[in-house]
Amino acid sequence: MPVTNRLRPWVAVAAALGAALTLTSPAARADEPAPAPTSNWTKDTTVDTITAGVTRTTWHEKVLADGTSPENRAKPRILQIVEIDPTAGALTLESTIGTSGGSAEKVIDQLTEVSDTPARRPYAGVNGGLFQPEPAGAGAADTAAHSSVSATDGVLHSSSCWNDGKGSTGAVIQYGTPYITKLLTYLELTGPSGETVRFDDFNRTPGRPPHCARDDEDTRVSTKPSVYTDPDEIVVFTDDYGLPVPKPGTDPNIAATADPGFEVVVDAHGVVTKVREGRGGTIVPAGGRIIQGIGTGAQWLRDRLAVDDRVTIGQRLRDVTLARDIPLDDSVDVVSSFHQLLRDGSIPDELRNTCSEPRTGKDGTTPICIDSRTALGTNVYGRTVLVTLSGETVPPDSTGKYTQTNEDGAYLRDFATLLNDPALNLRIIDAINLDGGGSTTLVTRPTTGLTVNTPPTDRVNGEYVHRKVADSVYAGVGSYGMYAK
Amino acid sequence: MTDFRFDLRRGALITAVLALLCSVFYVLPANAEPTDYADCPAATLCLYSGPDGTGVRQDFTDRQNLEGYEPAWDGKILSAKNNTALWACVYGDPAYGGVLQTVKPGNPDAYAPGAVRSHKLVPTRARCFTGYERCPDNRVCTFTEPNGRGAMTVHLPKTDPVTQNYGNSYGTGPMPKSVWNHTQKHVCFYPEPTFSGGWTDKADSKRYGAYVVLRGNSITVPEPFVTSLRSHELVDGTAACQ
Repeated sequence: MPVTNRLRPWVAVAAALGAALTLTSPAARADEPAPAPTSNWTKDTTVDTITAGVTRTTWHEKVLADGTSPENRAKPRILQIVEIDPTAGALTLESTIGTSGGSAEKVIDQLTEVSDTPARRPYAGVNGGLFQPEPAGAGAADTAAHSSVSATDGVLHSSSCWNDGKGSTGAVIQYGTPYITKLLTYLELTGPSGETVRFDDFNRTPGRPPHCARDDEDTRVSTKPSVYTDPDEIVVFTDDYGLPVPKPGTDPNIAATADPGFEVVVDAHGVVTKVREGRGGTIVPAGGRIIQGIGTGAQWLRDRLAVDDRVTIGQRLRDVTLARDIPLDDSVDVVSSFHQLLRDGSIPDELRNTCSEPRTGKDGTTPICIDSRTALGTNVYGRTVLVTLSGETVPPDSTGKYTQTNEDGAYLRDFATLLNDPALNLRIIDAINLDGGGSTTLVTRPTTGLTVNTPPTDRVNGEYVHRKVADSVYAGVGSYGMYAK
Repeated sequence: MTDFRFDLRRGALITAVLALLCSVFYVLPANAEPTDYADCPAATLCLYSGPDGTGVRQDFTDRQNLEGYEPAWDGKILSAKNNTALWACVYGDPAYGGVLQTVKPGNPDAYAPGAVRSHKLVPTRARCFTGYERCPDNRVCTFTEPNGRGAMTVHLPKTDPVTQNYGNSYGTGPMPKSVWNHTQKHVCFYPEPTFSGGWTDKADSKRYGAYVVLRGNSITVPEPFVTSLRSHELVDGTAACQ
């Protein structure tokens, strides 16, 4: 219902005229303009237009006479920003887990697998959220368990962090933009008699939540890597897991993972097709799911599910900030991290200035952080930005191998400060920090093939390689003209 | 003649005074002592017919998005206070079209007459720039402006009695500038209402027989296809286009 306000014209007019006089009086004349912000960064005069609506802008850190950077580094860094304007072209914004949700792959491989047709592969992409490999078992080094909530096309691949019910930071990618908020997943199995039980996670070894607790029953067992445990768990595997589901003993240091457990195979219609004591080595059927339980989780499955029973696997994604559910339809992708870098144009107070491995700078005393950084955000124009901060790329040798690298980055809060630097005027409103360090990768498609624009920093057998990651975020080809037949 | 000139002068004077007053109100809204919008309830977007939170007030919760207002209110909003936790997006045209202005959570704003003709509340400012969220599941939706903004048409597909194509023909209806294929099928667009025709790409003179939007994609229609879509069909595979 409309409400009529009291009009107070004399107050408004008097105040307005007073304000006008104040603004125009010499005594109240504005101070001299503040000096233009200075910066150690210079923007490339050439903007790389990848396609209509997708550009890559590159900022280089100033180089001193001795070839070093003014910020206590041996070499200057490079800041790259891909801007995606959905009004300028037929563009999509999506995330991908590549061909297999259980495997880590290089960003360039995940983006290549988006389409068999080169012209329909993504225009640009970066690595996604944090993850950990499973520690043991065949091919363990290339496995990937997401650290927090992850989803593609409305299918969850990982639960959120619990964090005392406050959830964890994630970017919900929908309608062509990322929305950064605190997310909490609610996962529940419903058996044939209607009994329900909360399940713990997707697509990782039961008994070993990586990186963060999934509920208040998880206890921390190590910090590097950050690993938790819970001897009573149920974990569901999706059909895009792509690997045989884990066998007992995936982490020799965590007893719960040795539990032989119980396993249930469910078809695409939610009907149980197989139950068995023990677990592992099975491939998830197309459209179906595999449910593994250990401890009391195994007992729940054992007591309630038999072949031909129907089981419902319920999943809800809660926006904790707004106290709303986000419907998980196929327009929803989610990538996660633990930190929001910018919120409504400001650096959140709670953002810490962390670094995984500080080093000593070129002065020999002051620490610097060389963690490369990746961010996903939106700017004042409503456009998505993909950001990487890294060392300058170093070309491979004549055999195509990277025998040198230039690993660099920044402390976490310093990265946010750079993104918010008035001198750079990047005009970013919201941004989330994604996985960094060796995971930081920026791939673009200038004309035909995909190209990596960030240096590899993981060393394997004397060669530097780009890290295999759990997921990627990319600007994709949303439509195309089909040649007349 | 003299009277006429006198009237003109007086009219000009009145106009000048009004303009001055208006400029005071519109240019300096933050400096005039406002009502401070104290009457705007918590968790509410308050829209006012007067400047600085004066006049008639309409309240909206953070779930009340309006693609248009009743005639007595349409274009009459001169100020707003966003007391919700969301960003308020106000648009110069109905259906989230036209010029966009945004209001940060907790902030007021002032508008010229006619500047506010629809609004919505969104969790992140970037979503002010799109309107795709209106499209229901399992439908193809087309929009009169880029990025899902402006008037939306929700297409309920049917089999054309002549061509047997399963989709929709728009005839002389508005041609889409953006599309969300919110279905499980691919969509093939055509420049003729009869599910036929083609386009020539000016860049390479190649001839296109269909414009394809893959399942699930929401896109702004690019050249040479924009403003020339007259029909579309839904297909399981793009080989079925044309």
